[in-house]
Amino acid sequence: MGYMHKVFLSGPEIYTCSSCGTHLALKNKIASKQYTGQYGRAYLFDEVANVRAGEADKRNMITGMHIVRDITCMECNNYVGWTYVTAFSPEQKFKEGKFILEKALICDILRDWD
Amino acid sequence: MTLPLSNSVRLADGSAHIDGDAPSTNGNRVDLTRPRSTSAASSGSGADLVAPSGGSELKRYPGQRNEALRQCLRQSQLGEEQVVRLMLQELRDRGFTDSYKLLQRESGYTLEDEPVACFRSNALSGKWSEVENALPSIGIDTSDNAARFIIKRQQFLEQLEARQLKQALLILQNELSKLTDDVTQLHRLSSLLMCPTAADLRTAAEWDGCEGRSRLLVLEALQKYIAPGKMVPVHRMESLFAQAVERQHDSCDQHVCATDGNLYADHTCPSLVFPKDLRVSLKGHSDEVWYVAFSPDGRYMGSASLDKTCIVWSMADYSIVHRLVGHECEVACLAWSPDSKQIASASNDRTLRLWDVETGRLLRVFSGHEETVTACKWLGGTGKIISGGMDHKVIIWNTDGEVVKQIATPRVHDFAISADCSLLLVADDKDCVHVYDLTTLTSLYVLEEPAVITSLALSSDARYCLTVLKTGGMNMWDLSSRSRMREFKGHVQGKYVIRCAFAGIDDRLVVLGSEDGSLHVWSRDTGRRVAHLEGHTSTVNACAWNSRLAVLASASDDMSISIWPAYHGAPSDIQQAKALSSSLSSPSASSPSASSPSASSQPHSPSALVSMVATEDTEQRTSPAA
Repeated sequence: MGYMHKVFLSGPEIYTCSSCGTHLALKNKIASKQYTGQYGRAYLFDEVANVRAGEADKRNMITGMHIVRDITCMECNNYVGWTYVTAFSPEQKFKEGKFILEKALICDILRDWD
Repeated sequence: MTLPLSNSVRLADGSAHIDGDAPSTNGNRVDLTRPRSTSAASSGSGADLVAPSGGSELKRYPGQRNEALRQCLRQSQLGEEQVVRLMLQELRDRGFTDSYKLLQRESGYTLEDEPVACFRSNALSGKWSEVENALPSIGIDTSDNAARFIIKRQQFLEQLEARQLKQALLILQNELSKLTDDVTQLHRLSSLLMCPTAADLRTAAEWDGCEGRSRLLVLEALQKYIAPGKMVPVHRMESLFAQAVERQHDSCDQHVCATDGNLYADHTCPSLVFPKDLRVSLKGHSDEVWYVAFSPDGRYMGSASLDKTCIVWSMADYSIVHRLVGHECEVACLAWSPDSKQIASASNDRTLRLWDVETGRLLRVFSGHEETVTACKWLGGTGKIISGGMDHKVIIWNTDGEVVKQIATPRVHDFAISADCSLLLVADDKDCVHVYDLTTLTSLYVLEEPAVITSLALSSDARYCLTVLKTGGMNMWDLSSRSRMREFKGHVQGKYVIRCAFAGIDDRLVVLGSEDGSLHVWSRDTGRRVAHLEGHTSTVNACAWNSRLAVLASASDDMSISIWPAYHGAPSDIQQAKALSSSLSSPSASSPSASSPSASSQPHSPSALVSMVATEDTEQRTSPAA
């Protein structure tokens, strides 16, 4: 994976890892809220920060077969969601390269740390 | 030490005609038509000396065997007069007095014409009033106070040395004071009047007396007021040789070994190679290796890893000397103390740890950062450690773990410190390099990059700064002009921190890893890629150069560290090295947790490196269970 510098996001509302508080994504960058994960509701983001992606895994989801990687918080290694590597159905292709964060595993803070 | 002198500068025949009106071009050119016969006659070697060779050309060397070569030399761009006069100077300075006289006679050139020779001998024998009177004759304007000051100062000091205090005082009051406005200089000179003895005077004035080199130094100081054609600057030939060697050295963009000043042949470096089959792969970490650094004495190497440990490797046999276990999170960086006896490591667990290299013991934990510590270095020989973190802090610690100073900075991605500890360069998380004066802790200026900077390196002369960008580019800045002067391309980067490094003699090479598992070596001054090293199977995170052994080390996500010996590859040499390596049994470079501190006691030279070769390949990974 390699060494990564922790990113500190700046914006009005920030989603952080619920266990260690590391910044993960900006609330105003949510692409969609219509997703469901292992722990209930989940959000789709175009980009997230401070995560590491695991091994690629082929999974059958509600919208069809996908190749995904689980993502974990870079700081505490807790599972926070997944990222889409390949979507097989053409109408799901837009998800490739995007990220899911599970709502139950993140919390939002109002101000950035700067 | 005084240089040997020749007082017989004048030609023996005394008839050399000097054209005093054009001193710089042919000041000492002896009239061709007359000295031929006179010098021939005076040397008494017979009439056959004069043999015209067509046109106005005259042969002065009837005994010259190779006339063609001589013609060739005469037509070279360098005037014969200049070459011969430099030879004369060299002969005189080296004490070959007879050869000197002979060459003057044979060539018809004189090193110095009559007034200059007189001037020189007067100066060296301390006849200062005559020296002063002769100034116009050697082209120094008498109204030039600076030149006269040099002479009068010497005269003053010599009078003092001879304990002629009254005369000295008169020189100071009546002459020196009129020649300069520099009051402190005059004060210093007048204070010398108080010196009780000549020896005290010489010490106080930092002057070695009229028996020493002082008169020669006066001549050297006066040199800049005299046209170089009239009086040839001291040791001119030698300084030209030195310049030539230095220039050839400078224009070579790849050498990694110190070269001696060879005058017999031009400096050439066969191309630099890092033979792949001489690569040594070191396995000892159980996860990605993120950082690598050589001890200043070159005998050890430290590596830092995602597996939360550091390893101290012996460069003598590539064994593991110590495993430094204790950090609670991955270790991002480590730094060797200048005496190579301690290691400071910086971790994502927000602490620094100080380790004893000999015993491998943890000496201290430095707590004070509130975020991950991204960089650490030793502050020269001060015994202090400096660290930077994502918490907007750069902290200077003493080895007892106490905070000596704390500097408020932006979040620190990486930093670099000049060798003299005067400059601190901090790469922040917002595309900028902030340059601080480390003595006053003030911000000097900011360099802006178009993307996030992941790592920095500063050349040892603090002139060049490398910035590695997260978007995949590396730039080099010239800090003297604060401008971006070169871009290095070819590596792959997008996600991770890749640490760059300078390498080679005088930091002439630039090294950077790549996310495709390769390592790039460029020439700093030309930007040419000198080498592309492939062998790692995953991202190369960091690299380091060991100038003592002339080897490069690279740390990779594939959990291994590679040692790449550098060679200047005349193909035959490399073949020889390879043959040698295959005939030797390879030492086990990856013996897990083998602690052998004694093994480090036999450092080896670059050439001996050949015998330190392991032949294992990356596929045979033998990393121990952590």
